[in-house]
Amino acid sequence: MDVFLQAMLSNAAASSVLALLVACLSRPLERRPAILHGLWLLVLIKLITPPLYQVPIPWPASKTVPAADTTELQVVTVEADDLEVAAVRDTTGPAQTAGEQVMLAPTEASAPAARPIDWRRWTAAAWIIGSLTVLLVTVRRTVRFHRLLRAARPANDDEREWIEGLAQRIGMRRAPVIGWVRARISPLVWSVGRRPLLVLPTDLWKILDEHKRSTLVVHELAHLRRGDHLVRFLEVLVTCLYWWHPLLGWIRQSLRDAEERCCDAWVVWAFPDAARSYAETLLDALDFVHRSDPVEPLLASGLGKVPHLQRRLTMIMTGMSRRSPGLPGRLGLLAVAVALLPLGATWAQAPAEAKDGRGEPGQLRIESGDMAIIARDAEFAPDGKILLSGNTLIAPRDTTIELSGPLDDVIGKLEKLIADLNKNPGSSGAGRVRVEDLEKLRDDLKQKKTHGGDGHHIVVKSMKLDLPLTQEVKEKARLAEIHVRANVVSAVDIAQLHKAQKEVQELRAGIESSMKKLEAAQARIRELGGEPGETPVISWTARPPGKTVMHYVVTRPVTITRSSPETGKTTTKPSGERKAREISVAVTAEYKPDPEKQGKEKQPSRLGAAADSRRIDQIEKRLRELQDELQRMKKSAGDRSDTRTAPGQ
Amino acid sequence: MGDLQQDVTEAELAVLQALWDSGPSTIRQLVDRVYGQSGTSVYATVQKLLERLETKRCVARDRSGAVHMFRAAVHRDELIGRRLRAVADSLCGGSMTPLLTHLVEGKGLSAKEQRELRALIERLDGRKRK
Repeated sequence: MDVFLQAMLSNAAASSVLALLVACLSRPLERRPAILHGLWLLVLIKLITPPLYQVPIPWPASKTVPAADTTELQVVTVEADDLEVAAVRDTTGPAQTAGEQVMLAPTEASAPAARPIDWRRWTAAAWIIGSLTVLLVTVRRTVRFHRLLRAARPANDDEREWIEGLAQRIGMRRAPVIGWVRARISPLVWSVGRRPLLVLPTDLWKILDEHKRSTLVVHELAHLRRGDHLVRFLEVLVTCLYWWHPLLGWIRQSLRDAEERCCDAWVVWAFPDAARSYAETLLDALDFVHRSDPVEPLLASGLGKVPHLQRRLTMIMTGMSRRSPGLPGRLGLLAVAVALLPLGATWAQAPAEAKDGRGEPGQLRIESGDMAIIARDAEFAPDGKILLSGNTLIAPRDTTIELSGPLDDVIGKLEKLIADLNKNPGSSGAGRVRVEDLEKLRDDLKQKKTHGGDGHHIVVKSMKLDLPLTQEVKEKARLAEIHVRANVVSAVDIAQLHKAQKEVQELRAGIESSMKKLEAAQARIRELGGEPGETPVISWTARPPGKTVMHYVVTRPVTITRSSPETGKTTTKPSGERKAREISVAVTAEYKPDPEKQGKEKQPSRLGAAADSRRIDQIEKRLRELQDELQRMKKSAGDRSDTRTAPGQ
Repeated sequence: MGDLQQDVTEAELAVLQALWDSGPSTIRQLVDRVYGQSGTSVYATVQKLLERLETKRCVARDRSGAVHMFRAAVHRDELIGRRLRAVADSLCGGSMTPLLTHLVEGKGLSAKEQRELRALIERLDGRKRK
């Protein structure tokens, strides 16, 4: 669509320039109407042939309005230099922030998620509607006229013979059919039917003598002979396409004037002695057509038409114009045509930016010089906010680097990335800033690791650059959305989630069976009169699995919306005042408690899955100690009495 | 002419056609001729069309008999000629639907302009003869 729009606008501009040039030639070529006609025809043809040059069209800058439709993603461009780590938040804390989604809402100033008004689309729509309207009106009028002409009286044999004679005189093989009408219209050629129809008004005929009649008919025949009736169809086509073109009416009028002059020249050529009668006939016909018209105001009457008629009559009377362009004229026209009308299409010169993925919908792209951070699973919330969930990506520009997996690995990869960037910092100092960002991120991650202890199994979701949002990704985002609603936390891979849940269940079963053994052992020790020691208290966390523990929002002012799936509340707070440049890096930690137990436990603790396994170790160690003690006690008891009771039974 | 400014529609033209073809008729006869069937709905349609044609002064009504007789008050050629002219004007050069080439386009000339142009022809003719 863009290509056509561009090409047609270019054509409109080119044809306007050409029209002005041809207009300058109209005086020098006054005696060569055929050449002039050819040039005007070229101007018209120029409008429907591929453009020679693409004229850049200054589209108005896109205004932004809030996105109404959420099915399409818009391009978001963020300058790297504006990036900074504005907030590093630890959301491991209270359980009510569990399952937090961070929504980045553009502030009004930058509005990266806003949808630009697509001027091209609206222009194209208006254009097409206009074209269809013109076409419809043309077809309706044509059909009506054609139907009315059925009332025309066909010619008798004498008349037919007469017209065939005149046709032969100007070298036509086949004469048109005559249709007599009783209307105050100018004689005309109607070529919509199977065979061209020469429409002649009966009443005009009555006031013309034989000579005048012949000149009029030859004029109309000359139109047919020249193929002007075919030009009409071209004219209709161009008018439908360029109905808005301010110069088109003038171009068409000039073309017709040239046509009339050519036909005048034909008449003068066919009847050299009848120039005067012919000139008078034109005035008679004009008078006949308009005789009954209401009197026009003096100024409106034939304004601009009289000088034109004067010239036309002068040319007829002096008989100086040539009816055909002649060989040199033809060759000249051909040369101009070859120069102006490219035979090889230039439609292929599609604007280069179309190939560049930029501007394509369905892609969220955040640029930052050599670096970009992309939210792969970004989704536009119905209120126009961007929802970033899971799979948040970082990558050097034009490269695909994936940071994923356990925290240790991610830190290692970050180190490497930082080292790479330091080696090759890019063309500007901007690269430095980004390395600092990465270093900060790395340090935060390290701190997180030590702070959280070894018990935390932190998984960082991966990232990529320039990933178009495929259907698969969209589907994933959709699933993730459902996930969030089901209060199970952010967009983790569902298969992975199920696996984690299974592991949690196994782990829990292991701990519980160990506990049972321990309790049995302790009971036995007590039974034997020993001291069983302390029983460990196990409680399960109500925290959902796969919780986000950290959220790095690399940002300048954005509105952060937190929606808590537990309370159902959404809080929005704007952060800062500078233009928003936001990027989010999500670090996700996966815990492995049993989701079934969520909320049921009376004494929730915030032990993670790994902590649970540490607890198992403790329990098992304690169990072994108790068993050892039991053995010792059994031994000493066996020394005292023959007890056959097996320990632990 | 001036009192017949409104153009007749296709349906009205069909009724007029029937009147031209078979002379003065009653509504019932016209219904048969125009629609080839009878019924209250088409009867009402034709009645409405006749009323409209009457206001456009294309049809005259004779109320002397028990059943009203209608006859065409406009000549066929005259009406078709006027319509032809109207559509031809809409199809010629200056319009958005350029499908006709007129021998002479544009508005009519005033008597003075006519005289001037004819004088011009006379002058040029005289010069040529010398």
